[in-house]
Amino acid sequence: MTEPSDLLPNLYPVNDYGPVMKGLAIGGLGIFHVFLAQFAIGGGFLMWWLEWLGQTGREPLARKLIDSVFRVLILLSFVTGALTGVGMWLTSIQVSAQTIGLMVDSFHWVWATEWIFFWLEIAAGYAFYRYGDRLPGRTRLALLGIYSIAGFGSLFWINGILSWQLTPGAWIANHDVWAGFFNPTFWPSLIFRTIVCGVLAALGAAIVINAMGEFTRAERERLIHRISVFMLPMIAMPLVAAWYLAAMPADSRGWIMGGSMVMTLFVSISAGGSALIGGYAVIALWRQKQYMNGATATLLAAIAFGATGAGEFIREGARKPYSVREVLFSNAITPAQVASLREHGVTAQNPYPLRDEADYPTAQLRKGRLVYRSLCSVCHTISGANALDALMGGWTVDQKRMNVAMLQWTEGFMPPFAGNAEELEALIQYLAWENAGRPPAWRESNDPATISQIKMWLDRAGTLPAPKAQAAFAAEESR
Amino acid sequence: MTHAFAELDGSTLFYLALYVATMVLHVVFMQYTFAGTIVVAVAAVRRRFAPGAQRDIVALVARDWLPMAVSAAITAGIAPLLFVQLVYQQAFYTANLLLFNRWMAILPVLIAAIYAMYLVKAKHVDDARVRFHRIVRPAAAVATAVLVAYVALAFVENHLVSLAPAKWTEMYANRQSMLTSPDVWVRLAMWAVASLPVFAACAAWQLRLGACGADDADRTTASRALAVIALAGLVGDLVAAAAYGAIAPAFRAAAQGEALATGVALLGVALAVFAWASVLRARVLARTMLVLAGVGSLATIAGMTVVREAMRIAALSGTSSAPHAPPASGGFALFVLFALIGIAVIAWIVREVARALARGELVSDRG
Repeated sequence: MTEPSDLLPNLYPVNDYGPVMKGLAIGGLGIFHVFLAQFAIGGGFLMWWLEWLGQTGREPLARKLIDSVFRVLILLSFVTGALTGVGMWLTSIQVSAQTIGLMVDSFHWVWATEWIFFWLEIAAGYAFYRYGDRLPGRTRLALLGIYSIAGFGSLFWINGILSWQLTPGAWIANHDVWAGFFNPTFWPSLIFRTIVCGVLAALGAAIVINAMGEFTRAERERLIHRISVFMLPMIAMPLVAAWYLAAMPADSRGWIMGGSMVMTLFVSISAGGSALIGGYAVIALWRQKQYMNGATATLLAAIAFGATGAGEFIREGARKPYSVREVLFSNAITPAQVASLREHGVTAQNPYPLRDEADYPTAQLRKGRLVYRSLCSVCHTISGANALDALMGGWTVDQKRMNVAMLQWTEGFMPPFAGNAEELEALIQYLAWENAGRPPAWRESNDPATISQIKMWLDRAGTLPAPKAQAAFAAEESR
Repeated sequence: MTHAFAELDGSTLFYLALYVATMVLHVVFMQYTFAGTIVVAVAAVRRRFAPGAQRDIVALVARDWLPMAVSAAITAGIAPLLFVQLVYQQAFYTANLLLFNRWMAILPVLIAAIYAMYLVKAKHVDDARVRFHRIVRPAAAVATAVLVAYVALAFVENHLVSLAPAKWTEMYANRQSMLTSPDVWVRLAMWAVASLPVFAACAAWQLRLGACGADDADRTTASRALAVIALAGLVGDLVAAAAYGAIAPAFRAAAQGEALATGVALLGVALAVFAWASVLRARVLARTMLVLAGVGSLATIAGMTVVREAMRIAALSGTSSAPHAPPASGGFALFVLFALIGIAVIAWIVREVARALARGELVSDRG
C-alpha cells in the first residue's frame, strides 16, 4: 500500500554536503529540537503544578516563578522550538525525501491531529503569556493545563511515528495505521521521553530561579526542592530502558549492546549522563536536601543535553540498515528494488547528471561517482565524516570488491549493494581515484574476469539484508 | 471548478481542498506578518528622523502583535506543508532540494526575524536608553522586514521551481536559480501588495477591540491610515496581477479557466475597495465596513489560491509529478474529532480572555 516500490530510486536530486555527513545535519538539528521541545513540555506541567501549589496556598512564591519561567518557555519554545520543528521536516526532505515521503503518506492524519495540538499549545500559551497576570485563578490553571496537555499530545503523536521507524510491528503485514502507531517501542519510548521532559523542566527552572534576583537564598532553596520532584521519576529510567531494549529487534539490540563500539559508547554516554543526573536528584536534592546553584543546574542541563543527543543518536543508529525497518533502507531503496537494481543498475535511470562531469577523466569514474552519490552519500563522505577513504583505505582492491559486493555480510548494519557488477567496479575505481588525489588520467578497468568475479560475489551475498540473508544461508547450509 | 480540477479524482480533490482551506488560513497570518513588518519598519525609521512625530497607533498594534502573528503563521503553515507533501510530493521535494541552502536558510532567517520582532517591541528599554530608541529599534525593525521578505522570496522561488519539471535537470546540473526570472519578482510584488489590505482589515479589528489602549481619537487617525494602506494594496494588487498576466500566459490561462475563482477574487477586491473607501470618507472603523473588508480579503485570498492551484495542476499535468492523493491511511475520524475539540477549546480561551477584556481588566502590555 504505502511501500514506495513503484518509485524509481534516485528520483530526487542529491546535494553534496562536502565533508559533512548528511546525518549530522538532521542529527544536530534533531537533538537541539528534541531538547527544546521536551523542556517546553515538561515546563508546561511544572508551571501547572506550581500554579496549583500557589493557588492552594502551599507555595506563595509560585506565582512569581511562573511568570519568569513562562517567559523563557515562550521565547524558546514558540520561536526556536517551533521553527526547529518545521526545520526537522525540511531537513528530512534534504537528507532523504523518500523516507519522509513514506512517513507522511503513512501517518498524515496523525500529523494533522498533531497540528491541532500545536494550535492549542499556542492559543493557551499566548493567552496565558499576554493576559495571565490579570486572569482569575481558575482560568490561569485551565490555560496552563491546556498548554501542558497540548504539549504532551504533540509528543504522544510524534513518538508513535518515530518509534514506528524502528519497530513497525504488525504494520508491515497489514499497513494498519494504529498497528504502526502503537508499535512495540511506542510505550517505553513515550514513558522515557516523558521522564526526560520532567528532568529538563526542573533543570531549566533551577537555572531561572538562580538567575532571578528577587528571591532570597532561603526562598531559592525552597523552590529548588519543590521543583526537584520533577526529577525523581528518573529512578524508573533503568526499567524503562530495559523495556525499550527488550522491545527492539534483536539485531538492533546487538549493535548497541556491544556489536558496534560507537553505538555502545553512545549508550554509555546516555546511561552515564542520566545516572549522574538521577543520582544527584535522588541523593543530593531529595535525601540530603542540598541546594542546587545556577552553575550546577547549568552543568546538569549540559549533561542532559549530551545524554539526549546520545539517546537520539542511538535511536537513529539502531535502525541501520533501514530508515524504516523492513521497508526502506538508509539509502532510500526498498528491499524489493535491490533485486531489480542488481539487474538494471542504479545509474541507468538517474535523471540528474553530475555537476562536475568534466572533472572525471573516464566514463567509468563518472559512473562510479553516480553510484557513490546514489547509494553511499546519505551516510558517508569521501574524506570527511564517516569517510569511505578511512573506512576502506586499508583494504586491497580485491577486498574492496568483495566486501562491497557482500556488503550486508561485511557489516551487518549496511544494506545490500543495490547495483550491478559494472557499477560496483566503477565505484571501486572512483574511490581509488579519489584516494589517489584525483589524478588527471586514470585507466579504465574492464577486465571481464573481474566483473564475473564481482557478479559471483553479488549472487552469493543475495539481495536480503543481513539477518534475513544469514537465516537464508543457514537454511541452505542445513539442507 | 473547471478545467484543471476536472481531471482529478475525488480523493485528490479532497486533499487539495484541505490544502486550499488550510493555505487560506496560513495566508491570512502570513500576510499580516509580511505587511506588519513593513508598517513597523517604516514607522520606526520615520520616528528615528522625526522624534517628535505623533505616535503611530497602527505601527504600535503591529509591533505588539507581530510575534504572536508570526507564531500563528508558522503553526497555520504546518497543515498546508503537510497537504502539499501529500498531493505534490515529488514536485515539492524536488524544489526543496534544488534550492537547497537558499531554501533551508528560511529557518535561521525566521528565527532571527522573530527575535528581532521581540527586540523591536521590548518595552522595558523604552524610556531607559536613548540609543535603543535611535538606533537599535529602527535597525531591528528594518532587519525584521528584510528577513521576512527573504522568506517570502524563498517561498515564491520554491513554488515556481516546483512548477517547472522540464527545467529540473538543467537547474540541478548548472546550479541555476530562478531569481533572474521576472516571474519571481512580480509574484513577490503581488504577495507584498496583497498583504496590505489583509493587514489593514486585521489591524482595524484590533483597534476596534481596543488593542494597545486605542481610544476614539486613535481610531479616527488610524482609520485614514489603514484605508490608505488597504486601498494602495488593492490597487497595487490589480496592477501586479495584470503585470503577471502579461508576462505569464499560464497565469492568464488559469485565471480564465477558473472563471468562478477569478470572479470571487475580483468580487473580493471590489468589496474591499468599497469598504475602505467608505472608511476613508467617514473616518470611522465601522463594524459593517470592516466585516465587508474582511470578507472581501478572504474572498480574494480564496479565489487566488484556487487559481494558483489550477496553474500548478496545469504545469504538472502529464508529468510524473502530477497531483495525486496519498495512499489511504487511517486516522481521519480522529483528526476530525480533535479538530472539533480544538476549535471548541480555542473558542473557550478566546471567550475567557474577551470576558476579562469586557470587565476592563486588561490592557495588554506584552506578548
